[in-house]
Amino acid sequence: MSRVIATVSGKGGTGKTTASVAMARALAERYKVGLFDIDISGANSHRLLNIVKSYDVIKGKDDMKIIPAVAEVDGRQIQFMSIALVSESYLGWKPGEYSDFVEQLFNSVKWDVDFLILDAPPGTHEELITALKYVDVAVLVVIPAQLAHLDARRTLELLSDLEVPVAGQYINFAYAVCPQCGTKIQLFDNIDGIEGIPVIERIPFVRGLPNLDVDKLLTAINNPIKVDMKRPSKVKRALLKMFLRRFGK
Amino acid sequence: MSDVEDIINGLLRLQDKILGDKPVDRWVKDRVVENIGNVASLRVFDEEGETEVTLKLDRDLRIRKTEDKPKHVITMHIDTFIDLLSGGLDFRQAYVNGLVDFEGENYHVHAMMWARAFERIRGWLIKRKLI
Repeated sequence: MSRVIATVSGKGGTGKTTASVAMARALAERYKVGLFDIDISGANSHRLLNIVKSYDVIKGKDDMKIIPAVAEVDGRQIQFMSIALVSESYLGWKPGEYSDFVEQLFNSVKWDVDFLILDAPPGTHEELITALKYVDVAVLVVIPAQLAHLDARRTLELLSDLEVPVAGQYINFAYAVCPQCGTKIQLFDNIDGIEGIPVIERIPFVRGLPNLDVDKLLTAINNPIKVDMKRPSKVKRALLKMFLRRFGK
Repeated sequence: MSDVEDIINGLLRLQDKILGDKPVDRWVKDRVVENIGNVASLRVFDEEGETEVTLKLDRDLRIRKTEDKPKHVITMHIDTFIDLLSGGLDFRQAYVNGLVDFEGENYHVHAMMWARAFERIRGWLIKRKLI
């Protein structure tokens, strides 16, 4: 049974796709890995891979089934699916068709993998919400910037509400190294990751794919935490209101 | 008979080229064989109304008009229909751009299969400079 890992962040441009492909490459060193680009309207992970064989559609037991494409990254094979394999043009679908795409492909693609990585879209849109019901664990990708943290917290609230455990966070663009003197340079705000979420690795700003430590990733995946960002229940809120009415003034 | 029906009747007469003993593409014929019995409706609309034609893939690999209930309904504007047929528009792009609307069970999976089929047939047509 494969384990489904969603790479999420909330904010766009944090490096989810790069992290997803880097995670796939790291895990593919030891395991059979799949990558499903569910950032449907911004699918671009295929550009970081070498697609060696396109997807196929064949007759299954009840309906048509999809055989995923085969991609390579640094000589490691990854099973891959993305709408960009059909066309790189813009998506003009109606609301609902995005979640239908995720739902139908989850039930139709014949993955033969130990780990399936989902490259999630920014925000908390329908395709992510649909996909999260299939997800075993989420990996957060944040950059050390206040705005990114605000969006990441929204995503953590969603993960909390849907009871999806979190493996930890990659702090991307954590620093850059001066090529001349080797000094570490802080690129954003003077903050780290999201408080309370284990840090898997701090990734420096690099050209191309960062090399991720597969052992650190596996440790995180195998020891996820339950994120509790639940708002007070109706009962708690009612008691709070009653308390404030009596003693708050 | 509407222009759309007229075009579809013409296409039905061209089936031998795609599905005959020497098919232009083996993969396409294999997928066709796997989908025997499938019924789909094609709805083409313009500013004045729409024409709907329901087609069934029979055991002898012939697509014929039917009164059966369709499994999928494919809807598009007449301009999209003409552009697709004339080769001016790639089916894959029409699908992702939302110019072709699909309804029915597992419609994305079927659309992706048709996208592959169009990709292959289009490749065959381009190679022979037919479009």
